[in-house]
Amino acid sequence: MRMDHRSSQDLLRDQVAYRWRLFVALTWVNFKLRYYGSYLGYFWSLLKPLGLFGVLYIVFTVILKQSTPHFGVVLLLGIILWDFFVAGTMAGMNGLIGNYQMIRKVSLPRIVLVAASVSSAFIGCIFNLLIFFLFAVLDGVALTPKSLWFIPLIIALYILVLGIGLILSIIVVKVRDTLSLWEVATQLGFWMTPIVYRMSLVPEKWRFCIFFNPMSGIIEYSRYLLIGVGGLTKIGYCYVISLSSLILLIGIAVFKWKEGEMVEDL
Amino acid sequence: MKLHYRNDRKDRRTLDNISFEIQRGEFFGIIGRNGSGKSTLLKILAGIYKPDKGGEIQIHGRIAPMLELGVGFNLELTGRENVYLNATILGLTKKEIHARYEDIVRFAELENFMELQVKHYSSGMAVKLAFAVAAQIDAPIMLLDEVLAVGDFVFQEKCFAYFEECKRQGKTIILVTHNPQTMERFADRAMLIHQSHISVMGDPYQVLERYHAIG
Repeated sequence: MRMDHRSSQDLLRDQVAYRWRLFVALTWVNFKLRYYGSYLGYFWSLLKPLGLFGVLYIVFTVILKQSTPHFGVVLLLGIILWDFFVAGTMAGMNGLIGNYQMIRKVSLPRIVLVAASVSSAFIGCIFNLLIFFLFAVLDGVALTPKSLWFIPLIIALYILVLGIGLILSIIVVKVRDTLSLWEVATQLGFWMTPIVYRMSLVPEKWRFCIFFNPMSGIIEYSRYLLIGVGGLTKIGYCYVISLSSLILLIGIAVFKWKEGEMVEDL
Repeated sequence: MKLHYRNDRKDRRTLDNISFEIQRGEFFGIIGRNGSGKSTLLKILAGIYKPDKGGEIQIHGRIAPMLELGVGFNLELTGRENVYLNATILGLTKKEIHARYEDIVRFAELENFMELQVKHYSSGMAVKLAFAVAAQIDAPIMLLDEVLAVGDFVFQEKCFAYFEECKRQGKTIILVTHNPQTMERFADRAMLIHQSHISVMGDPYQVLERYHAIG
């Protein structure tokens, strides 16, 4: 619609640069605002999963006498990754409805709003992972070169969360119940994903169902790559990465397809 | 269970059969009662809403939208942080914002309030700051929506001076207003929107006459 007298290549470069600047600014603002005015600031993003970890750790080691090696860090890693899955999808879901004032009054690439919401949750996840590495070292876990395979996995997690966030951000405009529904779904998902238990404890015939959920693979393989517990199959690894990419593509397609309509309904 | 649609707009047309052209360098005024559809029209021009199938807009040049100013403002952030965020949304780079920051603050007359959270601002102060940011966007087309409704008379005069400057530079300005005086003073051409249709378009005096007649 706009007809500038410059080459389309220049225009594209400007657009990409603009989106990137916007993305960085909004991610930072979101991250800052999440705990604005609270005394402990972003330590809350740390304390929340650590709190859950503490409770579950006590339940499983003191009461249930769980004593597998590295049980603590295995549990901690699972909780941190799952916590990002929940926080990230929730933040993404709020990407449109939470920014409605801005969306209704300035023309801006709205997909960036959702991406920035997810990314600010991702910053919290990175901090949490640093804490995990600290605990892991204290627990005597040694990283090996194969641990680098964790990097594609965490990117797959980010992509998965962004894809789901994009889809949810659209649905929630029409059906506000999605907010509560998703909360219930993630609580259920917590127990359907190997977080407090390990894949090896799941009966053979159910394993396939559990692995169907991409979060299972992400958590299970992360544990294998970083702590050396459990196992990894190449097919499973590829499945997780391609499914996450597919969900992101679906998310983008759904978002592009419906965003115009949703903006009028905000 | 009965599903209830909050916004059932199957048969409602906010704008219907609206067709007009604005020349480069023109100051075009749009006036109309509340709910007539003029803000929706401005939002379509700004690219926020898309016209329905069959509708089309062609815009030659970059637009600086000033729709109900202060939009990108986040009440929890300080004035300074909001200037950076808002200017980023409007397309400036960090370097450009650094260079223009002092000008923005001076124009807004808020030198002592920049480190204060915007939630402690009065509505007039917020609008001043937003206007000052938007005025830094160097675009050949400006969309203004009721921006003069808030702000004291000194600031209003400052805005008028800014409009005149823009006009002299040959910028195209589209203004939505309730204020007949502003319209008379600036508009080269005007349009009255009434009940989703163009009621009259042309000379501002005639348009205002009709506007008073339907009121």
